[in-house]
Amino acid sequence: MTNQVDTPVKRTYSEAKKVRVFDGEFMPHVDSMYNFAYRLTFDEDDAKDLVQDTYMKAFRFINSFQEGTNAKAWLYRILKNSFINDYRKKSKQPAKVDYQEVEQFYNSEDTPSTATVDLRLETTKDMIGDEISNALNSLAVDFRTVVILCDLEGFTYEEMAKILDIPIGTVRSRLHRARNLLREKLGSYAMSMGYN
Amino acid sequence: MLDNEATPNQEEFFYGHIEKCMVCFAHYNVEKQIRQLLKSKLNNKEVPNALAEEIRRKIVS
Ligand SMILES: [Zn+2]
Repeated sequence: MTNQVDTPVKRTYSEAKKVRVFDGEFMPHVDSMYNFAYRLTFDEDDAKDLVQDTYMKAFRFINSFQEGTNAKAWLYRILKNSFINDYRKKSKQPAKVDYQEVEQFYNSEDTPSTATVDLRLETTKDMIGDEISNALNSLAVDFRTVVILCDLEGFTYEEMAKILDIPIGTVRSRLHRARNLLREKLGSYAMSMGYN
Repeated sequence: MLDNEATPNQEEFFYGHIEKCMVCFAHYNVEKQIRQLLKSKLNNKEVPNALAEEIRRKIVS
C-alpha cells in the first residue's frame, strides 16, 4: 500500500498560489467541516473554534498539501487531530472514553440494555430525526467518527484509515462495532421501514 | 458490501446467498435501512454566516 501522506514532499507555493489553493480546494468544505466538528463537540462555539483552528493550520501547512489530491480528507485529518490534541483537553465536555475502555465497557456483562423505541408510537419525521441523532450521539467518539466519515461523508476505508491514522483493519472492526451498536438502538425503526 | 468495498466476486457471492438465506437477507435489509436513516434523517447544522468570512479574513491578514 502506498502512503502519500508519509512521503515528505518539498514544495513551496507562492503567496498568491497559497490563497488560490486555499480558496479553491479548502473553502468549499467549510459546511461539512462545521457539521463534523459539531458532531464531535456537541457545542456550536467549540465547533466554530475547531473549524477555524483547522483552517489556520491548513493554511500554515499548505506546502504539505498536494494539489489535486483529496483536500477534504486532508482537512478532516487535521480537524480530527486538532480535536484529539487540543480540543479534548480543554473541552467543557467530560473526558470521553477511548476505544480500549469502550471495548471493555461493551464487553462487560452488566451493560444496561438500550431501550428501543416503538416506531408505532412516534412516527413524525422530527421524532425519527431526533432518535437517530441521539443514537449516533450516544456512541463513543471513536465509533461515532467512523459512522460519520463512512455513512454521512462517504469516505472510503482507505481514506478513513488516513484520516484517523489507523490500519484499514481497525477501520473495518470499528465500523462493525459501531454498526452493531446502532442496530441495537435503531433496529426497530429499520425493520419497520424495511417491511412496511 | 454496503460500503462499496467488496470485490465483484464477493458481491456476486453475497447477492446469490441472500436470495436463498432469509437470515442474511433480513440482516442486510436492516443494515441498509440504518444507513438510509442516517443519510436522510439527520439534520445538518446551520453553519454560522460569518464563519467562512472570518476564516478568509484571518488567513489573508
Ligand atoms: Zn445466510
